[in-house]
Amino acid sequence: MLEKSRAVRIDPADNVAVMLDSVKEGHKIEVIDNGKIIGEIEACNTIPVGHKVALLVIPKDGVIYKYGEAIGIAENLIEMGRHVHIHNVRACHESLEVGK
Amino acid sequence: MKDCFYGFPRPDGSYGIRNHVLILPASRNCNYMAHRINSVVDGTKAVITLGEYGRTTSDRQRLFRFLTGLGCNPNVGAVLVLGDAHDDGHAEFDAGFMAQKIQNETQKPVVHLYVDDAGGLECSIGKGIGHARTLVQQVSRIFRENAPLGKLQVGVKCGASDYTSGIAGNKLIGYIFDRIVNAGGKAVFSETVEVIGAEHILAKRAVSRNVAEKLLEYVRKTESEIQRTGEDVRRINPIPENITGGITTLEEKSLGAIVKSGTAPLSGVLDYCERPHSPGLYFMHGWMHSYSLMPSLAAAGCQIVFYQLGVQEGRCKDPVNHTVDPALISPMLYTTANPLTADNMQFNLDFDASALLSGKLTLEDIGEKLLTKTISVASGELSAGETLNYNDPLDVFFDGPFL
Repeated sequence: MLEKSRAVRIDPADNVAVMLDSVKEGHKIEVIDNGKIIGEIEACNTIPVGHKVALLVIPKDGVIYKYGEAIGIAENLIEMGRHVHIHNVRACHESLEVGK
Repeated sequence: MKDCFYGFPRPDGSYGIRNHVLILPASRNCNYMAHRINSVVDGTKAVITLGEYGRTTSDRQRLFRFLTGLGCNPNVGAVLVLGDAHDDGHAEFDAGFMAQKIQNETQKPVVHLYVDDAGGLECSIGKGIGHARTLVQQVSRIFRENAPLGKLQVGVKCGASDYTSGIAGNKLIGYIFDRIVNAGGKAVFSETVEVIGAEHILAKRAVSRNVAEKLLEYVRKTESEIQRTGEDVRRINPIPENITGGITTLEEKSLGAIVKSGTAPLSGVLDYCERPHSPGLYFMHGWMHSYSLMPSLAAAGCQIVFYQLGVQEGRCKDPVNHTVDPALISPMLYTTANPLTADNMQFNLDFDASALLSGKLTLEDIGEKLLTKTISVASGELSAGETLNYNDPLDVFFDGPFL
């Protein structure tokens, strides 16, 4: 088991990164962008590999950015280092009227 | 000479990367004949038609483009079209008409026969075997020549998407797409449902307002059709496997999916099985199902197709161990950036891109390696799927209603 888990930030505008290793609550996450380490955060909870971690505090109804684009809306305040997934995010799409 | 491949020259200036003779049943009654001829004559591929009856005009047109498009693909050196009778049923599914259409578009050798003329089923199978043998020998006299990379048309489908797809695997295909388009070739991606949620971003890349509108129209139409059935596209996608793998929303999945189109401007939007006629990046309206999408990419002219896999832990170990070559006439290359998938797939994987995920290689390094592999397969190296002597029945993307 690695001492530090790694997460990849895809775009500089993103407020989440994708876990390359799983991480346990309280353990450190190294954040990588384009092969370079850009920072380190502490995991608020256990996060599986492939899942997203918040890189910043995201307020309730704040936009989640990945690929530099909006991928969802925060259902409640999400702290830095917290697992970002279906339990605290809804799709942006649901707020749009479809078929027009 | 790095950006070249060895292909079979065709009369219309295109290059095949394979040299098949296609046995093409114009109507469903001729499927059996096509199958029998294919099993006897080496060097042939047989397509099985789902039949033109009981379909709307638009669905019949789709089937027509599907069948004739496969015949027109540069990987096919010659075509044998089988029909049951002259002027029987829908005019465009007449064997002579189909043969003429393929010949007019490509100038390649096309032969057709009718069961009625040959004197019944047994006689027409015998006659068909004769025609097929002659055509196979005829195309075997065509030799590979050096062709520029820009003569390639590539297609892609991504499957079992997981976190590795958007951040690595699809990015790699995007790199190949950019390389092919920059070399003057054509690249096609599809899966209309998978674009929903990211259509506004894709539309911004369109070369004209018309192209953007066409894309948005296909997306709108697809989404409203899904809604009419009572299904919610946002509940279908992301599918449970995606969610387990870490994908949260449809937008996220869609963005991860369109990464595979690369960064080129969107030159055009094609209907299902429609062939692009000038170089560039294209979106084709299509259904995600491999056995419909892969052959439709081939019908749209792709000589080679990529199947970019994710596959997270806990699923079937080898996700493709029962499948072979759904593009029928165009080799399909399985790629993945997921190290677990790469380990599990063993014999079925064509390209392991997991070094990109781990950061051992840059996108450019691994992209050039995949390009080398692509050129090699285009020049004759067999894909993993091509080594299996089997083809599953293909599917066609129909809208219905069924009449």
